[in-house]
Amino acid sequence: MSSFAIDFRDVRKTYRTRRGAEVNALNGISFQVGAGEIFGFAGPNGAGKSTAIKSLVGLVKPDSGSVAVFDHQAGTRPAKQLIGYLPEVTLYHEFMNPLELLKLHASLAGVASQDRESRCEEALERVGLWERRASRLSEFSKGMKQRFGIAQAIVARPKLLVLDELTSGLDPQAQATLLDLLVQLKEQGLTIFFSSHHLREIEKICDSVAIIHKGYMKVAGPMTEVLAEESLTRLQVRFKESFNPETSELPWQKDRAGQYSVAVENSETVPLLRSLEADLEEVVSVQSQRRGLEELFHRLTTEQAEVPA
Amino acid sequence: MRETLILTKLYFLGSVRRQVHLATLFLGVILLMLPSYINAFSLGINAFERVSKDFGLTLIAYFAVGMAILIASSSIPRDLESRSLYPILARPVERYQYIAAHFLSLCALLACSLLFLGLCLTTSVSALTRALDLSIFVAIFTSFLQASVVGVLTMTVSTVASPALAGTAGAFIFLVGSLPGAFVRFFLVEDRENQFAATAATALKSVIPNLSVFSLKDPIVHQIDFHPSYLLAVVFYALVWIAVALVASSILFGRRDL
Repeated sequence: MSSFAIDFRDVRKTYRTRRGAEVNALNGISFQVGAGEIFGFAGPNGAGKSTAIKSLVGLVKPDSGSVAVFDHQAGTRPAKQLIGYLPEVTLYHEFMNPLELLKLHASLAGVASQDRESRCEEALERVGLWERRASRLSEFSKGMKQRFGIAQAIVARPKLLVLDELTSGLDPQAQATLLDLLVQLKEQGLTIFFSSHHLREIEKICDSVAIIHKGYMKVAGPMTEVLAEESLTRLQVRFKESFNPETSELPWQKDRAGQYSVAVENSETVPLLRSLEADLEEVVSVQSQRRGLEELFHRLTTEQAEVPA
Repeated sequence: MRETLILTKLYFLGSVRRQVHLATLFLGVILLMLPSYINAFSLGINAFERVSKDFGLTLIAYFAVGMAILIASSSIPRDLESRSLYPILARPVERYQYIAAHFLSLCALLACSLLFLGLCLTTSVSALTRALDLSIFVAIFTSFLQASVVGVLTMTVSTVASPALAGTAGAFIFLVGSLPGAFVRFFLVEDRENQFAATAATALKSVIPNLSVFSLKDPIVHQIDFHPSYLLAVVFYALVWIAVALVASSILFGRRDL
């Protein structure tokens, strides 16, 4: 028995195009999500995020490997009973009103008939749509539809919430509202698996993160560890007048006081200082500088991208 | 079963709210106006009754098949395109339940429409003959079975093909399946001596349902007796085809990555 909410192990999935070409959507990805975490899943378009998410909710069957949800094989009835899922850009049955459709989802999820009304009310209150319960879904804005999507995902009180591109196409205010909602849901003990292109929001609210590119898992783990491994050392030095750092390959930056600074990988700090020993007047400061998720994402998805991590 | 019924209600309501039933109402008005089209007094009441029944039942049978093909070919692809089936299939719902729900909602819609059209035709005919003839509903029932069979086969194709392709396949199944065996024998073998075409047509007919068995229009119109066991056999034949098609579509759709 593992204690993971989600457990991907060596999952592979290949699609065949109509012309017979093979597209490797997932190339043996493995990662785990702990219970009660908010997990951010990032990657460029076509990286394999949606395939991984669909494998998790049972819409796609992996060719090999295993996906488990709280120790139940993904796609099975016990696993599905634990998941609330919000797909990317879904057109709901727009002829219905939110309350009708929510009741339908609650009954499909097996919520007892005597509890359905209260669960629907609770879910709509939570996303701020109770006042609009009698309006047609076709009258809703995109942000309201996403909020309804969260309501349908949480109506059966799942243990795991899977959200695919929750905030794409929303204005900043709607994004902030939804992110606050996710934090509140986490505080109630839900595990939230959340894919997004918006790396700042992942960095802001997620406990763990994974970056996938061309079907390969580039990095996965707790946010602090992932970013700590990527930390740099920022050196601030004063050179002897005889030395011109602009001839160096490093991108030295000069400030008004005539000091130069550069950020280098931790492992390169000592060799660099040794190589500059003869030209250095003074080392003003040595500081550890954390890279942001955006920088890490950019580096992992452009540099030798086709090489497995 | 509970999940299937919940989804059946959803898809039935969806069709109703998309105003599919308006076409039924329109045809109902045409059927009610039959006396205006057919001059009953110049034909005589008996001829009028036959012509009206023949015309009305033919119209209803084609309408039912057309409706079945249109709805069955588009319902699953529409759900895929809008992705509205994703949150549903992520629930504890099996794919065969989803397919069965679409089929049952189609049957419910067909049943309501045909019942309404049957009432219109009966009213129209009874108004002039001054006699209530409910035998029309027997022919309408077999039209319902025929449309259900064509619909379920169209839906099977739609699980792996576009609406246009599924619709074309449905129309092809209806046309070839309705072709009487005597037609193949006479026009392709005896008249033209085209053995190849006759063999091809016979082979094709043997792998798709024989829809001519569902036509009870002539015995009803001309008051020719038929054994009640024939009706039972027709129901059984339809149920076998429906079961086979539902199993096939569940397997095809179950293997599909969404």
